[in-house]
Amino acid sequence: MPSTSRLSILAKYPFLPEARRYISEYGLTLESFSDPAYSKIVERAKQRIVDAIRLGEGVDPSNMSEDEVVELASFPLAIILIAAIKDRFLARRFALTEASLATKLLLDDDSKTILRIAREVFGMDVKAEEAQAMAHEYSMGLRDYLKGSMTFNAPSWKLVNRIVIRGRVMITINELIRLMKDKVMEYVLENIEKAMSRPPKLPQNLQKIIDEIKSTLPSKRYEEEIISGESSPEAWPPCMKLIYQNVMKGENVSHFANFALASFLINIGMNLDDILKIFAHRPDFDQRIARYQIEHIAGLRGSRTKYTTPSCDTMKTNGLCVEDGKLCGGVKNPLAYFRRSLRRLRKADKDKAEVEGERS
Amino acid sequence: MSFISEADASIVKKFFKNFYRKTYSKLYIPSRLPEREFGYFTFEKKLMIRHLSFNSPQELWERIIEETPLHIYHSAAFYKYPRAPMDAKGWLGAELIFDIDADHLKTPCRKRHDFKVCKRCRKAYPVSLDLCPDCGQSLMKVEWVCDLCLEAAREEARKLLSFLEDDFGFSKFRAAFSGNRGYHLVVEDESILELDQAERKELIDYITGTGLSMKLMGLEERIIDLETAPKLEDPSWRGRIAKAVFELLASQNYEVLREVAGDSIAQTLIDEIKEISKALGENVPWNLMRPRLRRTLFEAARELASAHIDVVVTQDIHRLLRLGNSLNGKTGLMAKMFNPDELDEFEPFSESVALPMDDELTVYVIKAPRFKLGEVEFEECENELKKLPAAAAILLLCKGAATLP
Ligand code: SF4
Ligand SMILES: [Zn+2]
Ligand SMILES: [Zn+2]
Repeated sequence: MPSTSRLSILAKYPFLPEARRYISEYGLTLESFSDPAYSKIVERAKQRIVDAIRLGEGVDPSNMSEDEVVELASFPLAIILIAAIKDRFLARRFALTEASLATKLLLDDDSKTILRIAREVFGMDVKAEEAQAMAHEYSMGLRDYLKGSMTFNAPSWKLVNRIVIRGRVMITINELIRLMKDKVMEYVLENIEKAMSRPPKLPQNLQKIIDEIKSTLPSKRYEEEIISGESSPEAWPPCMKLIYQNVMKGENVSHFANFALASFLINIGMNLDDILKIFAHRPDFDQRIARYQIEHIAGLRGSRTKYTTPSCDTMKTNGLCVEDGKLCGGVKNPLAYFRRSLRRLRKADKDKAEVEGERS
Repeated sequence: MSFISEADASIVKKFFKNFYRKTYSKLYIPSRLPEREFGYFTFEKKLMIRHLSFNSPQELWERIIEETPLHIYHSAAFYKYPRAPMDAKGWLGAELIFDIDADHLKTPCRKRHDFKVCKRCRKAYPVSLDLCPDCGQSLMKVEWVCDLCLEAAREEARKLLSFLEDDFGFSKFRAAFSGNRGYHLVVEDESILELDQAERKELIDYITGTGLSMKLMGLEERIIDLETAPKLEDPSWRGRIAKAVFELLASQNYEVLREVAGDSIAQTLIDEIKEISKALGENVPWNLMRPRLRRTLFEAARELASAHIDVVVTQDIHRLLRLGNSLNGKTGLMAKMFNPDELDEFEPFSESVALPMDDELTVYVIKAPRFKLGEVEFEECENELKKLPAAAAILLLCKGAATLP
């Protein structure tokens, strides 16, 4: 990674309040971006979006401009452009990319700056711990820790495996930065939402960029109707439908939920490419890794065992069962639900065919 | 309701009514009263009357005196519309509640003091029977509670308090005897009121040691590094595990080990422990244990150090909770509130006696193990007409262990 120390704090973290103040004092309006004098800012804003599409979490600071104003101003401009493109998936991926960039810069930064940003910008209840219980330099208030760590599945994040002293959960600097990453992502998404709710009129050159980016996006994302025939979601149990919908919306889905859906789709006989297209909606999608994982679950790699779909009990303990199974008539495994409703659908089709046959 | 006859129920109701007439003002009034849901059982009906709310203590007192409930509860949650159906109440937050019930603690005394009763023949039978051998009716279980049961519950409450204070840093609690088999503990700290179910589950998992990883404590390595392994002076679960393991080694108490590891493998482990205990130093000698002993001791320590709470209660953010200082219709004892700092001094079988001990009632006792109320001890008895202090007679009537002659 190139040295980032040359960059000012404002350029590195354009979400800081003083960065926003600086920009508003600079007096830039959307109209001003049609002026070639600002072309560098426009270029960098576009670059931020292209990085999001191409690199995602793999983004690194090498594309950052040495010019503080360019870095600073291109950030809100990119948000406006993303909002105008109106692609939820791209919005999430952009937020994730910006959050990853910030994370990489934070890892290189000094602890005073990190702590200040965590506290003042994101209102996190963190402080430095002199005593450093078991090499943990920081502590976070219990409530904030719970709120921040809920989406992580690794056992090391689970509260029971933490050192918790009088309401303070001990964390390391890397863990703090990981928690901040989600906050940056939230911040970016909120601002995209805001910009979406009152779309501004854009000068022509910006509109051109938007059209250009749009044309590179897949024309049609994988929609429900593409999965037709026997593996159509119509026959899926409610738990799988829900995970599927969340994946399609580009929302954050836990590792376990991903695994459950993937193993379900494999077991109902969907082909790997179709499954991959579904997971391509994840904001952190990485074609290579996803393919590897799905092939692994399908038993084409590694241990060569095909994974079965988690049972309803397991789904329940992971909070993925819908309405406590009330809609499912006591099945023990989501696959059983699928097989049963498939039988029903086939029968209904047959009945329908017969009725139609009579009519003709 | 376990009363043998309607007459039993109505005499108990008279005493309850009198109690509430005299002592209504001592009933606990939960904070933010108008935002709480209330519910109660009457002496007559099996269904709970719920979705009630009261704007002032007076309103609540009037209703209680008028209705004389068998049991009365309020929500740990605050609602915008406490009288609305569940999904329209508008949840605003909930206190964090804990229920410790001797019933879940598998106390060995249970086998000795629980029994069953045939309501028709008015006779007692062992718990193993389901139907009355004389008349074929299904039998009713009478769960007794003794000092041992409540001591076991108190010990769990102690551990729970340590988790809540030392680890979670909570500072505002209230505590109450349930009036029957256990204790209730309620955390009132502002910071927890809005925790959702999943977040409460994390706290529960912590308190019960669920998902505690041996590996993350550095105890699954081939060669243990004593620097990173849990030590007695460590905070949090690390310290709890170290202390419990150290105690197991020092006390050579093999009972628990047998429970965790099973009888068959225990002997080889016990030999190993004896060897290790000989050279027991200042801290836990993790490095001297073979992997299997390490795991067994870890599991036993986790079992010993966790607090055995009713997890369903704590995770339910709509739960109703017995009103503090009201009467428990299963015993006629009071759900007496006490200062959590005085947990060790609380005496359930005297401080919760709320009905008169100077008034007397004559009842036919079907069966009663030895028990004590206040200063008075009662001998074991079966199929006997007895003149008892009202509080004791009512305890037996409520349990269905006695009936009016
Ligand atoms: S009962 Fe089983 S199939 Fe139905 S929603 Fe729950 S987990 Fe899914
Ligand atoms: Zn009988
Ligand atoms: Zn007992």
